[in-house]
Amino acid sequence: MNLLNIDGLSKSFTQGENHIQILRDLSFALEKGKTAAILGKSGSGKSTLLSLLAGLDKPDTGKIEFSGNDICSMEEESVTKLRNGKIGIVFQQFHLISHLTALENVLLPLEIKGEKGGLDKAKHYMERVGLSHRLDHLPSQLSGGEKQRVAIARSLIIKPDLLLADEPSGSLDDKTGDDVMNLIFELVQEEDTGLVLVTHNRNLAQRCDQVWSLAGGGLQLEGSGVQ
Amino acid sequence: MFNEILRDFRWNRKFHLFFILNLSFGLIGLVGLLGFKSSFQESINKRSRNILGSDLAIHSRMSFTDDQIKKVESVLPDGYTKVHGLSMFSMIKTGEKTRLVNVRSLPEGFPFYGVLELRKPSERTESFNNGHSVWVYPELATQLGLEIGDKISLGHAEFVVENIVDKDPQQSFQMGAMAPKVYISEEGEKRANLYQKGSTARHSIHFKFKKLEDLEAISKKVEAVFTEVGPRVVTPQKTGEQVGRFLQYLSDFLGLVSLVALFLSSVGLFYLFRSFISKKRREMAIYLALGRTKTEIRKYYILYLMILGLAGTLIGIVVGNALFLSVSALITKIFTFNMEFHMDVQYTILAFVIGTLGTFLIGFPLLQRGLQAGANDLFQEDMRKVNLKPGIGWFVPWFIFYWMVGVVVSHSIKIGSLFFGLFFLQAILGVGLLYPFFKLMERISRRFRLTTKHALLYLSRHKASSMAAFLAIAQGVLLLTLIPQIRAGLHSELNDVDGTKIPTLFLFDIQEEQVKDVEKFFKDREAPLQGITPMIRGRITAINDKEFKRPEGRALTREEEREFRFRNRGTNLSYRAILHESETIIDGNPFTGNYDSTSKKLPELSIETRYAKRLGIEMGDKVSFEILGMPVEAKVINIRKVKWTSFHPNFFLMFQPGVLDDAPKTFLGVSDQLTVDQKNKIQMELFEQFPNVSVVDITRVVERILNVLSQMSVAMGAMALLSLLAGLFVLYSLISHQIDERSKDAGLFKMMGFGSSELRSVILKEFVLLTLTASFFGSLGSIVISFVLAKVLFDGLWIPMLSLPIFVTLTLGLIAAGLSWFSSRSIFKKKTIDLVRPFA
Repeated sequence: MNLLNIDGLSKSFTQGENHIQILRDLSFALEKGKTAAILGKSGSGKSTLLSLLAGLDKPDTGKIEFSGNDICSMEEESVTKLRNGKIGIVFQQFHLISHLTALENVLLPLEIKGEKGGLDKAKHYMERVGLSHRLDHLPSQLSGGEKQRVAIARSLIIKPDLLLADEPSGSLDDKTGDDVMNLIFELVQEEDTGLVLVTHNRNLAQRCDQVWSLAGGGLQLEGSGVQ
Repeated sequence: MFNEILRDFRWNRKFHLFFILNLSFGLIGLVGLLGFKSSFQESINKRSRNILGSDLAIHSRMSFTDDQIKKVESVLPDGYTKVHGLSMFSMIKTGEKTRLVNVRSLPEGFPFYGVLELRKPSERTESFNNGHSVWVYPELATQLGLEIGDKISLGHAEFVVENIVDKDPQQSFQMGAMAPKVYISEEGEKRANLYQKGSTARHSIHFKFKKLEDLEAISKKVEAVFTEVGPRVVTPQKTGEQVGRFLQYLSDFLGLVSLVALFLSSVGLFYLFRSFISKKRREMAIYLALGRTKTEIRKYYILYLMILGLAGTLIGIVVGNALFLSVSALITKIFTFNMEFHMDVQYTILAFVIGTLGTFLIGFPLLQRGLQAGANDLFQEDMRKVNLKPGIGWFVPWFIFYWMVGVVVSHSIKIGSLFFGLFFLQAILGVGLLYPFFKLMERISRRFRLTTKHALLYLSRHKASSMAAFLAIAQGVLLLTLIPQIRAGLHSELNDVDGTKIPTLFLFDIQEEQVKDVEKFFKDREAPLQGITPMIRGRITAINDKEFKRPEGRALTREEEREFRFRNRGTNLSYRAILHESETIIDGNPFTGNYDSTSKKLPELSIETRYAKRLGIEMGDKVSFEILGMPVEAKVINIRKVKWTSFHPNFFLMFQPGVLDDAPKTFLGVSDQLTVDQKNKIQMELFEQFPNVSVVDITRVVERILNVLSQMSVAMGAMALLSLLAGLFVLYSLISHQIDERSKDAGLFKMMGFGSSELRSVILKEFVLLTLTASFFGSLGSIVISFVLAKVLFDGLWIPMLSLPIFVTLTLGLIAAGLSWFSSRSIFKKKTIDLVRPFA
C-alpha cells in the first residue's frame, strides 16, 4: 500500500475579482520510505500543495489518502492528531517557538502527543543533529543552520511516516544548506521515513527517488532521481 | 509628511485605538480632578469677598486693646466702616434637647458683602436688634425640631427663633463642622452673658473701605502693627485660600492617586509603542535604503507620536471634564457648596503638556533605539536579534518629568517627591522580587501538565511584558483595597474595639470656680468627670531667645502654608504632673514634680512630637511664652507622642505643675461610658445648672468623622477604581498584542497537534494566573501598608480585612479570563495555515 495517494487534486484562490487556479487535477503516489521532490518556480503552488498534504488546508476537489485515511474528509482536530503522530514538517523559515529552548522545541511534539519519557529521546535527537551542546539555548541564540537542525530534530522525533520539507535550505548559505540536506536524507533513510521535498534546486531534487515538476497548476513526473 | 501619517493611520487601527484609549484612560482621573480644582477655585475666588463679608478683617483669640485698634486705624486709608464681632461656642437648649452651637454676633450693617438668605423674607427686626431673638442654621432646626417662633435658652437668657438661615455666604464648608451657627445681635450677646474670662472665643474687627484699595498692601501694613503672634489679618483672597483648605488637601491627595493611573497608562504606552516600533523597523529600513535620512524618519515618527498623544489627551480632557460634570452634583451634595463648572486655561495646558510631553518622553527612546538598529541590522533574518530595549538612562527625562508632575499636582515638593520615591521604590522592589519569582515559575513549569507548563513558560520567558502587566494590576488592586483597609482600621479604632475608653462627652469652658461643682454634678449622677485639665491661652514669643516671628511673604507650597498657620497663631497650654495613658514619652524624662520657684532652673516643658518638628523645637530648647501679658520661659525636657483619637484632653505644650497654676484659666474634662439616655439627661441638666459650660457629644463627632471618612473613601475609591481600570486596560492591551505576536506560535502549536481547546487553555491559564498572582501581591501590599500606616502614622488599631482583597482578586481573575477569551478569538477563528502563512 502506498503511503500517500493523491488523486485529482485542485485548489483555487479568489483574490479581489480574480479567480486563480493554483493547482489543477494533480495525481501522484509515494511509497513508504521513498522520497519525492517537487520542483517549481516561485508562485507555482509548491507551498500550497505542501499545506494540503499536511492537512493544513482543504482542496477544492480531489482526494488525499495518507496511510489509508482520506484526510480531506476528516475533521480538523482528527487531522491534527494524525499529523502529530505521523507527519513531520520542516519549513524554510524554521519556525521555532521563540521562548522555548532548543531542547524544549524538540520535545514539544512528544509532549503534545502525551508521550512519557520524551526528554531522553529529545536529547538523543539533538545529539543526532549535532547540537547536544546547544540544548538550553533559545532560538535567538542559534545560527540559521542550527535552527534548521533543531527544526529537523523536532519534525523527526515523533518518528513520522512522512516528512514534508519546504525549501529547508532556502534560507541558508550553500555549505550550511548542503549539510542540512545531507542530514535530512541521512535521517529519513535511517528512519525509513517518506519525504516530500519542495525545492527549486534541481540538483537537490535529483537526490530523491522521484522528481516531479509543478508548473501552470499541473504536476509532471520528470523521472527518477540519482541515488 | 502629515498626509503620509494620515494615510498610515488607516492601517493598524487596533494599535492606534489602543494607544489613544490607553493615554486617555490615564489622563481622565487627573483631568477630572484638575476640573474640580479649577471650578472650585473659581467659585471661591468669585465669592471670597462674600465669604469674608468685608474688605479686611482682623481675628484674635484675645479681645483687642484700644491701643491696638488705634494703631490699626492709623495705617488704614481714609474712609472706612468698621464693626466688631464675636464668635464662640456655647450650648443651647430647647425642650428636652441641648446642642453645642457656634454663636456669632451679627453687628448692624454686617455682612458688608453678600446677603444672608432667610427662610421668612425679612430685614433685621427690632426684636433681633434688641437681643430677644436669634437666627439659626437649618441643620440645627432639624436636629432640635425647631420652628420659627420656638423658644431656645442660650447662656443666661431665653430667645425666640425668628428666622432660619437657608444660605449663608460666610458658611465655610469644612466638612463635619462641629457646631451649627446661631446668629445673634450684640445686645443679645450681652443678654446671654456668654463671654466670660478665658472663654474660647474669637474676636473680629471687619472693615469696609469706601474706595477700592490694594487690599494686600493694606493687609501688610496692618500685620506690621501686630509685632506679636496671635491676631490674624485676613483679606478676601486669604479667606478663599483658607476656606477650602480641606478640599484642597483632598484634591491634592486624589491628584496623586490619579498619577498612578497615569503611570499605568505610561506602562501601557511603552509596551504598545515598542510593539509598534518592532513592526515598523523593516519599514524604517526600507525608507533608509530608499534614501530618506534618519532625521526625516525621526521627524516623521515624532509627529506620528505627537498626533497620537494629542488625540489621547484630547479625549482624556473631554471625558475627564464630562466625568467631573457628572459627579459635581454629588460633590455639591457632600460638601454643601455649589460649584460652577470652569475650565481653567492653565490646567488645560497642564493636561496637554502631561499628555503630549509624557507620550514623547516614553516614545522617543524607543524610536531612537529602533533607528539606531540601522538598515543592515534590520534586514537580518531574525528581527528579534536587534535589542529594542533602550537603556534606563534614556528614561531619566521621563522620570524627572513624572516627579515634577507629582510635585505640581500635590503642591508639595516633599509629598510629591515622597510619592515619586515610594512609587518607584516599590516598582523597583516589585521588579526585583518578580525576577526570581519568574525564574522559579520557569523551573517548576516542567512538573505541570502541558498546558500549564506552557502558560508558565510564556509568563516567565516574556518577562518584560509579564512584569508590566503584573505591576499594573498589582498597583491598581493595592490602591483599590488599601483605602477600605485604612478606613476599616480607623472605623474600628473610633468604635472603641480595642477597649480604650473613648469618652462620651467632652466638656470645655468650665470656669475655675465651677470645677468642684461640675465634678459634684457628675459624681451625683454616677458618671464621674475625668481628666480635668486646665487650659491657659498663651503664645510663643521666642525659641532659644530667637524671636518667634510671623513669617513674611506668601506660602507657595502646602508645607509653607502649614508652617505659616502654625507660626501665626496663639496656643493652648496646660499642666499636669502625670501623663495620661494616651500620652507616651518618646524622648527625655517625665516631669520632676512641682516647680520650685526658688530654684534657678527653668520650668519644665513637654512638647508633642509633631508640633515640635513643625516648629523646629528640640530637646533642651528654651521656649519663651507670653501668657496674658506675663513672660514665662521653660525648657523642653521631654517629647511626647499623643494618641489624639483617644479624645482625651491633650495639649501640644504641657508645663510641669507649679508654673501656670495662678494664671487665669478654664478647664476641660470628659465623661465616658454613658448610655444615650444618661447622656441626654446629663447634657440637659448641665445646661440648666452651668449654661456657660460647653459640651461636645463625642459619639456624634465620631459619627461625623466616620461619615466624612466614608464620603472621602468614596472619592478615593473612585479614583482607585480608575487606576485599576487603567491597569486592566494595560492588561487588555498586553493580551491583545501578545496574542497578535503569538499567532505564529499558535499556528505552530496547532500544526504539531495542539487542539484549539488546549491552546485556549494555555492562554487562559497564562493571563488568569498572571492576574491572580498580581492581585494577590497587590492585596498583600495593601494589607502590609495599611498595617504600617495604622501603627506608625495613626498609632492605631489594625484590623485585617480579607473579604475585599479576596473579592477583588477573584473578580479580576474572572475579568482576565474574559479578556483573554475575547482577545484570542481571532486565533481560533483562523485556519492553522493562515496563522503561519504570514511568516513563511
